[in-house]
Amino acid sequence: MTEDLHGFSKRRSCSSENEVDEYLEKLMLEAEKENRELKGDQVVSLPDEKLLEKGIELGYFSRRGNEALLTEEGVERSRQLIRSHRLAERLLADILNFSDEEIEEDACRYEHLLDESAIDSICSLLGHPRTCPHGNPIPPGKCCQGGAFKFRPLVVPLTELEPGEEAEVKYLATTDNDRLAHLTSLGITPGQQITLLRRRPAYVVQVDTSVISFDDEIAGQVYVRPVKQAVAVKKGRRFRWSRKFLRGR
Amino acid sequence: MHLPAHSEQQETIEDSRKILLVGQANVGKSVIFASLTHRYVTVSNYPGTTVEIMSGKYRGFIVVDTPGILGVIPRGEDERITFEMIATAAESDILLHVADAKNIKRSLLLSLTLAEAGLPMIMDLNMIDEAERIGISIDEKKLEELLGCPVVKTAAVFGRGIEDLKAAIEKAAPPKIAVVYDPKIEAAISEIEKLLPEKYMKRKRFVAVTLISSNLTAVDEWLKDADENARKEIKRIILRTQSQFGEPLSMMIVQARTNIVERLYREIVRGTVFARKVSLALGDPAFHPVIGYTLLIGVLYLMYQFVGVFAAGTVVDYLESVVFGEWFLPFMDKLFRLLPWSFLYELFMGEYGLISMGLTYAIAIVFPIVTAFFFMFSLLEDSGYLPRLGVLLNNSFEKIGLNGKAVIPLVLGLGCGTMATIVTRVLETRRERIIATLLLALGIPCSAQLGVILGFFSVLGFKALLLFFFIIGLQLILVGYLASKIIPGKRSAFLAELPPYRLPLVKNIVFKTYHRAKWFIKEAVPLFLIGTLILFITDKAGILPVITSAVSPIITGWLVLPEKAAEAFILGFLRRDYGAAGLFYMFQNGLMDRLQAFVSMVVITLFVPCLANFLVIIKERGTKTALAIVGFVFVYAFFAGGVINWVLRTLNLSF
Repeated sequence: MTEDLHGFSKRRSCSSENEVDEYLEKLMLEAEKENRELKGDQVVSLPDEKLLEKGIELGYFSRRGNEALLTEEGVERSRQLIRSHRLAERLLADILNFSDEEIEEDACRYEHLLDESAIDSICSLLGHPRTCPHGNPIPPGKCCQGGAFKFRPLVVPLTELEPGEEAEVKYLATTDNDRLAHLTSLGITPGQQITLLRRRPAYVVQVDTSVISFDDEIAGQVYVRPVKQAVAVKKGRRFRWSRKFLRGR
Repeated sequence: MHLPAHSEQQETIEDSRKILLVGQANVGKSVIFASLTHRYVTVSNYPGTTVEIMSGKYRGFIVVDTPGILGVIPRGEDERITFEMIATAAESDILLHVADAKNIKRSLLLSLTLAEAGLPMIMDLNMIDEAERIGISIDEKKLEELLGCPVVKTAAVFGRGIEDLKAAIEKAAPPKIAVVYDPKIEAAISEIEKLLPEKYMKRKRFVAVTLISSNLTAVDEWLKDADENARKEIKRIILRTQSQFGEPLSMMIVQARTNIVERLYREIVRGTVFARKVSLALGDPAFHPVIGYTLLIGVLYLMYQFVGVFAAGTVVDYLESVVFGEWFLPFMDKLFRLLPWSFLYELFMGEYGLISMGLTYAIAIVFPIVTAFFFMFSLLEDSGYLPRLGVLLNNSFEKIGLNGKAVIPLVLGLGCGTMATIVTRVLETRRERIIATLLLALGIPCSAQLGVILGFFSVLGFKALLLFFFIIGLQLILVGYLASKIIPGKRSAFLAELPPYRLPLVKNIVFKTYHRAKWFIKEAVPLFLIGTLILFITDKAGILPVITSAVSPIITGWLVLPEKAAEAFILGFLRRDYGAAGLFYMFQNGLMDRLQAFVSMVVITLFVPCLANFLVIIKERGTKTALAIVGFVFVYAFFAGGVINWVLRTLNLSF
């Protein structure tokens, strides 16, 4: 954790972080103000050629004749930036009680720092808020879709994973040395990548080349960080049983 | 079967240089052992324990096949003996670490643990064929260089690399690689080293690190004959050191080793690993809620065909009526008739004679059934199905206070309850062992009894058989559930490795079956003889008729069975199949109607285990627990039988 914090302070401030990002944000804010949606293939006028070249390289813009166009990726990126920024504001305001100036300064940094999965986790943590503290809308992420949500922090016990998910073991929440010895000698050590194969009839995980099975009690003690943050774990499990039956999970 | 005297055995172990075969379970230690020692094998109990150690000769060495360990710290008596053997090994002894090549990280973690002993070592990457098949290529020369001791690759089941291994034994050297822990832990290690008893002094770092990694109770277990103050001081050091860290010390130690393992791994492993993702894509059929149980029923049916029909039918018939009936027993009969004392004749060849009943029962009936059962069991074990069955049944077993591991003794109980009761040792807590023993004693019919039961139901019909299994199953669940609520102690969590499905090799199945059958002869046959002896004495003292008349009122009044059934129940305590067979005889001769026959079958199945099984329960669980279990089963069998009788009569059910 301490290393991350050092990383924070070395980062430059919002405005100079990345000019392309800054421009994308500006586009989104303008669109919001004019009450229209930002779309792919729309013509944009960038302030200079260098910026355009860099943006094309990143895949956010394209050229058509003399015109510069915004790509779908560009739209997505700007949505993501605004989303990160406003969620960070929410986090700082609601959870950490930061003042307005502090919020503005820090949220700027967070939006570039956090990846999509981390943002989704913050979003879940905050209960999928719709607006930032200033009342502006927060573009919904994948985690907000569906209407019913399950909160999932970054590091979760294995019981929160769905079959097929990969994760990195973070820690083993037991002080029983016998159990620790048993788990570690089967290869379940912090830092190890594991894949959850199934939850029923018991937990089965793949650790490198071996397959280990254990019950709910142990699964609840193995804390992992999912490699790909799960796309919204929906509560509505319609037709779920049939799929479950077919796969036998 | 020739077994040398114990004292002689111990002497040779003390004097010669030893090669300790050490490794995790199921990595092929026994096969390596067999290919080094060939037929020069002896089995002896480790001094002061019931754990059996196989040892054999190879050139000038005594090769010892130690109980499989998981790593880091010993868990259970078996593993503790392996640690003890390492901790007290002489300077000239050699550690042969048999490792699973495809689980290289885990294997290296154990290597680093073993390296702590400072003994000459060899690392054997066994099952290298499986590793290669999934795309792992290991640079053993590089590993040799990094560890500082010889590394060889073998696929022992196919005899591959055994010559390299033999050559490496000559070059065994203490590993140069060493793990350095946090300075505070290192300080604790050197403090503890000074307090250790003399016998551990040569391996003091190994012992000290093991103690620090363990729960505090391990200090008392390891150092039970050490100085009281030293023990207290060691505990104080561990507690003090622990208080300086937020994480358990064992975790810190594992972490330090894991860091080195990761470095080694990067240096020596080439190639991408095609991990076995197949199980994810297709789903393992053994776990499927429908296919899994269908498969289970199929496997049970196959077992029934082989064990119940072939072994218990064909083989037993031949052995009992031809080999024993026409040849062995008449011969012994003539032999004992030559003796002047009729008492001795009665003792060996009478109605309850040691030979005519005890030996005949053990060798002609139980032995072939159990051997056939062992064969099937080894097949299931080697194919990888058995541990998966544990996973499938884990949830159901949890409801009755057990976990998936209990599948081993409970399935074995269908072969022989006596043997299965011994095998309850694989369960981790005392509570689980008691519950498993209780269920085995109560309602798991052994193969000898199953044979008669199935004979019965060929007359009573299939519907009656289903009802019978339903009732017995219900009793097991009910009693198991209640026992899990009443018997104190905690449930142990289920944690097991699932080996890949493998095509079992006939050679290994035969090897395992042979050793298990041998074990049965050594462990169980004497119990059958003692049981017969007790029966003989009871009969001579005239106690049998007394018991019979004492229980008759329950039989006739409560169970509504003919008085003669009492005799069959008493006999059932001595021989399960005799009891059931006695009832069958009564049914065939019209002494019981169909409903009475059904009730009597339920009661004899639930009724107390055979005498041999009872003796094993005393040996394994202690007299008090054994009496409590058998007393409960006795009462419960009659109680349940009466209730079922009443329900069936009230509902006017007929078969």
